[in-house]
Amino acid sequence: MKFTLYGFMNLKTVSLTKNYRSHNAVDKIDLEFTPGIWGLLGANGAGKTTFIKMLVGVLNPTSGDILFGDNSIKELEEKYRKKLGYLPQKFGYYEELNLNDYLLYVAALKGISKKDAKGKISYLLEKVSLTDVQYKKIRTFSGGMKQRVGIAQALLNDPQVLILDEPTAGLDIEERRKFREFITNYSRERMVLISTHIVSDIEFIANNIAVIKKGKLVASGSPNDLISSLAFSAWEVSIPVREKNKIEQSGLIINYHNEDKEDIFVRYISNDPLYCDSERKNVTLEDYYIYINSREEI
Amino acid sequence: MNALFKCEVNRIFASKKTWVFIILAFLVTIGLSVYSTSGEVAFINDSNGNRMELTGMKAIKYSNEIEFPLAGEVTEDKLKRSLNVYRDSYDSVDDKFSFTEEFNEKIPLMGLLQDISIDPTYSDYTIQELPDVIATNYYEIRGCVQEDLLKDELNDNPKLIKYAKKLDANVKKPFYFSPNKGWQPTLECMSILYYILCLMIIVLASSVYSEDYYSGADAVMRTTKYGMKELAKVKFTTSLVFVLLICILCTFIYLGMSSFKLSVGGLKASAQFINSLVPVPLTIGGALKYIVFFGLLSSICTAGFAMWISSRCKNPILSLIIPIALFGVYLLSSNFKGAGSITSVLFDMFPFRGAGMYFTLFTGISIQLLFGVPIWAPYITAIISIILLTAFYYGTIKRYVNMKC
Repeated sequence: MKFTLYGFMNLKTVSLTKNYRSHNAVDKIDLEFTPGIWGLLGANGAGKTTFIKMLVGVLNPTSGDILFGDNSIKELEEKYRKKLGYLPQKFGYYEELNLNDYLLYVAALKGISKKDAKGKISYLLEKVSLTDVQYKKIRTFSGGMKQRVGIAQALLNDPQVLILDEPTAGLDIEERRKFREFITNYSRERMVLISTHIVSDIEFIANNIAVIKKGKLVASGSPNDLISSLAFSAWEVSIPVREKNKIEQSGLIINYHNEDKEDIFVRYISNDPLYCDSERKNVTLEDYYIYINSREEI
Repeated sequence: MNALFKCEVNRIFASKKTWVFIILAFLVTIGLSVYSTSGEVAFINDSNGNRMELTGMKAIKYSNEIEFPLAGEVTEDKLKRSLNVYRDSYDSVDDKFSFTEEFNEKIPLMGLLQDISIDPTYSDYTIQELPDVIATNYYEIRGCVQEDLLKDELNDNPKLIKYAKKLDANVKKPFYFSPNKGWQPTLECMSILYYILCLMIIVLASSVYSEDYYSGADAVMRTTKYGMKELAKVKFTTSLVFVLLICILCTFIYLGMSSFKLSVGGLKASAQFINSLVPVPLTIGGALKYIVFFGLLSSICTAGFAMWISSRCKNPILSLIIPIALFGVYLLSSNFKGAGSITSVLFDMFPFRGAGMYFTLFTGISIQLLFGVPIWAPYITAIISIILLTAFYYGTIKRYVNMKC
């Protein structure tokens, strides 16, 4: 077994592939997840969820392998699952149970004693602001509350590997902020993988980012490395509406909004400014992500 | 694992569906128990000599009291006396019987004579015209009538006929009688009760796995330490135990109500007082034990079957429709089976088979060929049910573990 930081075993995918008939949902992805927060970026349908389902063992790869330390997760079975926390994209729960009973059920499945589970549940419910509804049926909760239940259940066993598929879906701004703060604190000594297509969810908290497009891994590294790999600069300028086509042909519009009837405010990336009064800006992860996704050759 | 069992039990009892099942099961049980004896009838003469009809509990109470002196071995002498009483009670002018107490007392024994009067020698006689020999040679004539029946029902298969005769040799003769009015419909309704329970069990158990697949609840569960094999096992066994306990409770309620209404002494009577020609070496009480045992066995077998289907279907509606459709096929196919035929062998493969043990024992000759060996149907049902249950258990767990969401 290969131990790294604080005894953490890296999670590694080796040429991981999943085919559905002729469609390559995930295509030979090699990635080694080290401790810290990992962001998995990709548009809807890029293969993120398929990739994650294989990582957590609920979907078998067509080929390739997933190693935890030096062992395949297939061989490790419950030894791996013991260290795993997972929030699926579509979080399903037992409708008939109240929140407390549901978490006790998951705790039992995770091999946590009832006594320990009770303490852990209280702690986590406080963290996800659900203490008030501990004895209410989950089916009566709002979408955001259900999502927080999903996050709480994933954390019950204090997992070394925490995999969250679209965890912020349904959360409001304050809940997202709290979530990011909690995950940042939590991620020390652990690996947290957050799959999302919303860049702002991971922009400031992810130590590493992997970008998937059409089932392929197109980039991975720290946010700074990814941004600096982009040879362009970001620019912002107000231009007449009629100039929009011209800028589209020459550079790449990241964002724009109407200023008044005649002008639009544009953020674009390009080697050089396309207008003399363009103001240079730092390239953000979102700029990078939009650029990567818009490239046709992938 | 104990904690997981407790959580699953808690989940089962937190579900509305469970309570609907429990309440319906109890209501059906009570309803059938009341219904089972409601059709019983007895006739008496009123003070003016007119015929009066007693129904339900009144008929049962009256018959049990009036038949009490008849209790004991059914000797041929007793049968002859019964026949004489019948003849004496017949009023040839009005072409009707007088329902005196003496006449009513003999009715159960006359039923035996009536059953063998289908013999070609006696088939042209009315009951009051039957000759003494039918009573004085009752057991011998019964043997002949039964032989014709066996040939007909068992398709002249010598192996099956030989086995049936061997089985009949174990029937205690002379038969034993004790007042048992009401037990026949009670036993019949008990089998119907188990059929209804099986249907309800299908509705309950068909969602055990498929609903989790459908809601996505299993996606979280199966990524936990005990979320694969252990969870599948716990769900299967908990549901099975739950279903069994409810069926046992229903059985207790049903039998409790029955023993309150009926004469428990009637259970000592030979099973031939339900159908005198079948080679069933049991008393009515013995038959009752078979019906209960196989009813309970089929209830857990049905639950196992429904869960096995459930483990294979991501769509809860489909996992409900398939076993219900098969249940329908089973009920329909029961009309087309013949001893030793392929349909009969297939019929035995259904997990609900044991629920209808009353019909197996009393509405035909319950002998089948299994790999060329004649076996009494209850034994085949027991063997197949146990094999099926084991297969469903392992099949369900394997399927759940391999199901990818």
